[in-house]
Amino acid sequence: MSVIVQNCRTCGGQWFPARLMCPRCGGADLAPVGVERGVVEQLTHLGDVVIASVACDPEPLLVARLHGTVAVGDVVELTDRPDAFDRPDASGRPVAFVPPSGRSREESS
Amino acid sequence: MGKTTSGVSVIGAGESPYTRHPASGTTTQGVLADAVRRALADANLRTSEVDGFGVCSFTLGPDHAVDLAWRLGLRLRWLMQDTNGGASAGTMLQHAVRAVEAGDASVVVLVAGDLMDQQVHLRMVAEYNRATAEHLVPLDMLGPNALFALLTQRQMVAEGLTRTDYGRLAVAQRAWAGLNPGAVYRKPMTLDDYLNAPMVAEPLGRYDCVPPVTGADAVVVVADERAAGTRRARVLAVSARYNSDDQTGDGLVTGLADCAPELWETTGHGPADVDVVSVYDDYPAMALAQLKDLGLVAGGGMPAFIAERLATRKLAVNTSGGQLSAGQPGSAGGMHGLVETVRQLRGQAGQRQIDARLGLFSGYGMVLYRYGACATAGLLEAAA
Repeated sequence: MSVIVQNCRTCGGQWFPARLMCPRCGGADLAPVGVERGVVEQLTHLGDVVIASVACDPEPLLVARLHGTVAVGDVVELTDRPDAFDRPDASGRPVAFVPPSGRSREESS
Repeated sequence: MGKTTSGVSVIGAGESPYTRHPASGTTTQGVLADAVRRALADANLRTSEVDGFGVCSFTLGPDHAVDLAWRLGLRLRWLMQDTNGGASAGTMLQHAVRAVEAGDASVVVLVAGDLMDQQVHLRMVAEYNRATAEHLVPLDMLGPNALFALLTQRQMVAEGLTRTDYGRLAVAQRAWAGLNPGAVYRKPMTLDDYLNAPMVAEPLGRYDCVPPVTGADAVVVVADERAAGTRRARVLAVSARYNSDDQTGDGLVTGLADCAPELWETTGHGPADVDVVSVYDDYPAMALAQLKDLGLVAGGGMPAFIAERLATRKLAVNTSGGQLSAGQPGSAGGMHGLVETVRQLRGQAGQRQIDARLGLFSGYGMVLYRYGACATAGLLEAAA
């Protein structure tokens, strides 16, 4: 499981949502890379829905939906598949869903 | 580095009354026109004297600024349409001041407003921008409440704040609203009311979230020589920042942190000189972030500032009640604080009038992905 983010091949910056040019170096060579895990920074509840800020190492910061019992500071497995909650990862880690853009959904399928 | 402005004033302000439940037949164009009419009447000017016009509205489409100008009977030589929502007043005022200084226009009307019933509001928050539609709505997250709940949690840690602190701000603004016949919520609110309200997204409860309303706000900007002898709000400086951090920060520092030094350096004033302040209060946390960025939270820390300056209303902040109590009329929310500042400086604030010579307003908005990315502020001075 992973979420596709942009990696700048010039400066190494990682971005989500997708940028048109690298905000850090202005480079245009932005390649899709998978990020598998992140750490929950904060979380809140909208009814039954758990929304969290998830930090990847070293970046980017993602807005995600969590499933199961998750606490701030927990490591979560990232997925861009909305049905992944029904198929828990073998790692046993909680899952964080980050919806992909139309384009990266095609690239990752 | 900004430049001081010279000889441009706001000489009129108007607000189309805010309403939670607009009467059937209410239109965006109708409330915008009502605000324009009121602002021109306040300035004692006729539409035939207007030669510059700017509008910000999320719900004007498919019409554009020129359609609205046409329907209003405005024949113009300067026209702009802005899209910066909560920051629109500063954006448009910055442009209008330069247009008047440069002689491209002599009488500019700026208006913002929206028809905001529940259906329109839901559609707006679902289609706010591409990032929202693609990356936030599929989380089953409609609207920015959860984003600002996360941000508020970060601020509570960073500033040592509790829900009680945010409640004090909301209660103080409700007390101001009680003096403003135009606010939609005027009934006194207690700290218990605030703390016991239904939770929306912890730590945000009902009274941390602005009530959407239908309404519009407008101001009239002219060259000073045209305003001789009229009570006016001279524009001393306007400053703006857009996308100041690429959404890579914690959202607790807005672009205003860079605007503020510009305002003070160009005008020779400082935060301690300000008599009346309107900050964009989409959430209490953002009102506090703006007050801090503008330099108004002096030494003792945020909790002490709230208890000693806001809760006591010794510092006149959001004297209209702000959007938390007056209501958030879509993109007119950005113009609401400017209208209130102008009213205070022109002595038109009725029961809530304070003795104000220097007024500061700020705008904030346009959530890109994690928090807002547009920030504008202006400093105005009472003149006669």
